[in-house]
Amino acid sequence: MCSYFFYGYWDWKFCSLLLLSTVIDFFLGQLLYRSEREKRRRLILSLSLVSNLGILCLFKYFNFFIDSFQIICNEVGWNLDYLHLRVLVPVGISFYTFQTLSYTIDIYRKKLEPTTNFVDFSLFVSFFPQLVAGPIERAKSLLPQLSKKLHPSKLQIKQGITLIILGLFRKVIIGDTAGRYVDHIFGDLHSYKSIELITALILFSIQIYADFSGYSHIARGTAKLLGVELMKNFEQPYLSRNITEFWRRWHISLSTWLRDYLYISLGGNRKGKYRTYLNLMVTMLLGGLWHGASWNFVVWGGLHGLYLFIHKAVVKNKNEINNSINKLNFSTLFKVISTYLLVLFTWLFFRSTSWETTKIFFQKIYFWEKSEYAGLFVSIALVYLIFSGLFDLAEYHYRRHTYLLLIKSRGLKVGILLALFGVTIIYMFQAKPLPFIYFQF
Amino acid sequence: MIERGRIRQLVLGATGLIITLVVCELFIRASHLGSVSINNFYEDIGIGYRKNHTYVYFNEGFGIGKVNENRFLGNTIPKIKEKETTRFILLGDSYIESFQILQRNYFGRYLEKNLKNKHPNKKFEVLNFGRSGFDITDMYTYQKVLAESFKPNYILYFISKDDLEPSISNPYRPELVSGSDRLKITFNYNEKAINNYKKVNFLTRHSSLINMANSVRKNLNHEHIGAILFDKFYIIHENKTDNVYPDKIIEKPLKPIVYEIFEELDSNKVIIVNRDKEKLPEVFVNLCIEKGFKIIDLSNLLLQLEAKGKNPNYWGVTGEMGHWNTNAHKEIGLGLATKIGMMVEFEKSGN
Repeated sequence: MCSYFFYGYWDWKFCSLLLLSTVIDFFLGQLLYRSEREKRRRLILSLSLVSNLGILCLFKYFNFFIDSFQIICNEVGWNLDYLHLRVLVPVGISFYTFQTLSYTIDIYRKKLEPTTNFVDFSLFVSFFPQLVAGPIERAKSLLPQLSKKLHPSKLQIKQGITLIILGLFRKVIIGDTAGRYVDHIFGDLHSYKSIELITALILFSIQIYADFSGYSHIARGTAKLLGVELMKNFEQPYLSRNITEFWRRWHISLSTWLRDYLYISLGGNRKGKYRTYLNLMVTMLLGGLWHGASWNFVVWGGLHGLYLFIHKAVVKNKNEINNSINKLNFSTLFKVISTYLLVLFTWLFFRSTSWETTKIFFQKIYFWEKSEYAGLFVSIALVYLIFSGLFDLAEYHYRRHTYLLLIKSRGLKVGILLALFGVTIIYMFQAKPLPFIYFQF
Repeated sequence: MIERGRIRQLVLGATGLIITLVVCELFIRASHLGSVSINNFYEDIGIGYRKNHTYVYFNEGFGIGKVNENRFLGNTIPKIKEKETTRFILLGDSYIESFQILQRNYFGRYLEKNLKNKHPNKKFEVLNFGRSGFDITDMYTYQKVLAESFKPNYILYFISKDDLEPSISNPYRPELVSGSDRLKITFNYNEKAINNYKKVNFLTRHSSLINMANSVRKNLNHEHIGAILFDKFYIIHENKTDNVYPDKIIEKPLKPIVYEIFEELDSNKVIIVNRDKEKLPEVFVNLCIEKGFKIIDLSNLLLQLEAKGKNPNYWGVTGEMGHWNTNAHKEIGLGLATKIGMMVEFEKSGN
């Protein structure tokens, strides 16, 4: 009930959509489990896929497809404007749709037994800490926890509070503040000079990471306060040495979902080299499209697909992907910076709201314009990179997000957390907070 | 033993708190996410800008600029201007101060640039003495205590009808009072108010966090805390005074001090600019005409922009209404350059 209230606070009408997804997959899950014949099982799974993806496509992608088709129809003078739907995209639809799909697919693959308790399943779908922006949980992990009586341990409460405070600080003090520069500069590129645009792009890379990872921290922390463990969604992705490692550290719940339910379903790497590359590219293109109904997201996904394809084709030492950084030397630093720059380039397409924006950005970089504020903008970019990097380095070094709890002194821990919380609250009360970026997906 | 342990934890807690706050302070300053106070108190001008201070400002817009050595906005300019230079001084409120956009994009720069383009053989300088909250008495006082020392050729008073209703005297600024035969500027600051201000300002000048906390204190005085905490669950009940005659525009008579100011101003130097969409009161316009002051009315330009769908007060990025946006500044700079250029040429031709 609380989860539905939380969701309904935004717009109560979309609770019906959430309920519809829940009812469909609950009953289809039951049917799927009881069916023995492969043909019937496939049919039931198809029903689940079509209904869930159908709802997602209708609300999120219908107008995008119409607009894309319009480009072709323009050639023959057809106008498809009348087909446009005037609907809001329900918050979190991409997240909970994938979450319910993972349930039915796991049942189909006989990796999961369905729950017979509708309330438990409803809670699995609508669990408020992760409903609107993930992490996209697997039923195998979350359902058993929700089926039991929720009773947080002392350690979970400490971890929960720590994660919430750290997440809020990251989101508000790092993410939101970087976002102010980004929004103004990208909103009016003509008024800014070359170095200012580059700074905005760097700050966007910080903003999206701080915003989303901060939110994920808050989600995990809130869940911990209820005695529930959610998966980690980020593991210091900007410290990655290559693009493959990046995708093991960035939005982990989505990347693993795409790997398990799309890439592997397409054949994964079992059907030869070229088919592997194709599967990789398709997965990344669709992964890009998942983020938004716009071609710029597809381009973003496609670029990452290209990077992964190249990396897969050339990498010899696969152990490097799995090993952590043990030594900080020039080679490692070079790899980390190169990977960051490759990812930074793709963020331009993610952030640009139109091709015109991208074109202006490239023009302003190519035809370099000096800025009287160059020193100021460079220092701002560096400060954000260093400050955000410090948090990541601490997490990386201690291999945990709640590294503050390793401090032995209770007083010191409380002092640090109080300061972080106090600064966040002061900022929030004197400026309007920005919405979470990933809420729009 | 237990007591010692608790004290130790308290001390460690305070240490952790202070160190974290210091680190946050450094980050906030370096990233300009918050800033130290831009103001300082001076005996000669009251509260003014801090010298040689760079600001980054976020509100409906995003502004970057600097305060120069002489405590007004822009690069440092020598008081004695070069030969053949025509110097303009801008006086007005926050619209002229233009904190909402980059200083290089504010209308004064466009004015200067366009005057130079139209008259390549002439030199022009535009100095920005705009200050937030200034009304006509503040503008006149500021002209006398600071701006006039730069020996301008022309002084542009950017006025809206609200500026003609001088507010209650500000304890932190020199006061303009009616004298026996002319206006007098007095520096009888409220000592207690100034001392309190200096104490707070000392902290807000040196710490961004304290400056932010001070902003929170001011916000809480103006806004309902419930609205901030509970968002759309909080309903604000406000007593609205019914306007008995909503369609009737009531023109109030001008205050005596406005007449006195116009007795003192030099009509050869001062140009009155209506900076608002609404026309200036007829009684004021008649006063200007009677005294021989040139008037530039920006209301038509602003309304034309609005009619074209480019509302000059709408900020697309934040979705807020506010001061002139970047496009409006450009158009105003262009428009002013045309009108002022004609006035300057008109005078030099002796017509």
